Amino acid sequence: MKRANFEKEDVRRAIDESLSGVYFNAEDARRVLRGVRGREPERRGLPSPRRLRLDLAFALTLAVIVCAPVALLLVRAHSMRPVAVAPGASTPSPAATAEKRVLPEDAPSPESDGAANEGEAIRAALACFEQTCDTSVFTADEYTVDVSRQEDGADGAVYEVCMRSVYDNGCAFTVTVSLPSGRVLQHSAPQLATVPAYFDDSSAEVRSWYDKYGPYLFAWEASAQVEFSRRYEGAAIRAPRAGEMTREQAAQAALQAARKDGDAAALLGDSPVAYPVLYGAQDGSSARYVVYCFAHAVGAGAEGDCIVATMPAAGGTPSLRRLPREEWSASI
Amino acid sequence: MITEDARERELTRLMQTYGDGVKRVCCLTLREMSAAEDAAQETFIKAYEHIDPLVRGEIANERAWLMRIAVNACRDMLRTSWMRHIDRRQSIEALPLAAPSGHEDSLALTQAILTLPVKHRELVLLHYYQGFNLKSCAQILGISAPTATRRLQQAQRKLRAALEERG
Repeated sequence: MKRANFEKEDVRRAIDESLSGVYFNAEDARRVLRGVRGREPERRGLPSPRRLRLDLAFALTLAVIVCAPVALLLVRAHSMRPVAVAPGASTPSPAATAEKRVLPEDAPSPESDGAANEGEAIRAALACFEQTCDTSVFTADEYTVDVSRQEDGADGAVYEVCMRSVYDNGCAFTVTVSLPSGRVLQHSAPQLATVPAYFDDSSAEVRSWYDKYGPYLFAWEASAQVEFSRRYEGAAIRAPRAGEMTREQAAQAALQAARKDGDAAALLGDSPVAYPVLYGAQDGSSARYVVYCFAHAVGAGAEGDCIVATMPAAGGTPSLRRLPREEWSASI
Repeated sequence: MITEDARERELTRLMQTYGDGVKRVCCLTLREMSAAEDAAQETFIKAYEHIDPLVRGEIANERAWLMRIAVNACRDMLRTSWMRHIDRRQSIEALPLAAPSGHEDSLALTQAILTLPVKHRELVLLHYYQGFNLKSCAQILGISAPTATRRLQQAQRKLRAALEERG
């Protein structure tokens, strides 16, 4: 196997060799059988104790969700006002599902003596976020904040502050703040806050992008490509920078190269259309344009094969390859 | 009428046939052994809960069916971890990867796969390790075929880059 190339057989062999010590053993099987026997009442339509516990938990959770905000509002309404705490708080919130962040006023905690209150815990968490996470990816404004108080942790009474991305991309950042001192005790790994954990096509957020801009990402307007990629793909696609070709230049370079290539020119005809996408430098590879060239604009449903031109973002000779319709339409 | 014995026989057959593959996919997806054990066991428990169509021969591709359950079990596990605010993922080096002499390439490739984001790792495992075609991968992952193809291309680029970086 060459190091930078891999086939299915290579991967299969590599994983089987590397994980030869990982197998589904007798203990696993026993646990499964115990598990299914424990769940048999459910199969016969009888309520199992586990099911009842879940139902009860659901009811309690629902009650908390419905009642807690109302109770909080009633109790604290007189002492709450919006406070801008994060850099960029003056910038508009993302149109997505950003929730209004409202922090309790800096009133001293009723039960103490200098102990941190929720607002201070949130401020400490936001400061921790600013210090440890890459804020060039997402700013604090792009997270919702939940705070919960825990009394009996290993660190004593603490506030758990959880920041979750408003984009439904799995990004989250959790900070544990000491209740007595208001100091940050620990936080989750910074990359969990900024590297999208999953891409859920069924998410309403994601679907709304495709509904608005169409099924082919390369044909989206540039700003939409970049923003979508930032939110859901770890910013694989970005806008050109100084010293790099513009998208128009990349498109022209791709079409020019295609004209000089007999097969490509024959495929694209007299009025080709080019769709450039700029992928940033990642994992050691340099930034590059991938330009999809078609004989006609996509969207009419009659698209055929396309020519894909790849070239360094800073400029260079495009390399061309023909992509059958089933491949390019499946690659977006 | 399907008896409990018949269901358990079918479950046992599934575990014997696919157990190792399911557990390894879970292990590489979650990058954490105890979570992988839980996810693999949960996979077969869930399979048992919906095993009647399989016993009746109504499921055409039992491997894809089972792998979809495994993928969902892993996703549930990841989401549960998030909800608990605990980062259970271990470093790659902490995984119980065997390192038999003469298999450096295998280890490098596996390590490179582990560095991929979850969405890419899932796809690489299904396509390259489990051998599913892209259409099946898309169905298993609950995504469209175009997205699967695009995601696989991204994964390939990242994997090549990771392998090149490792020299």
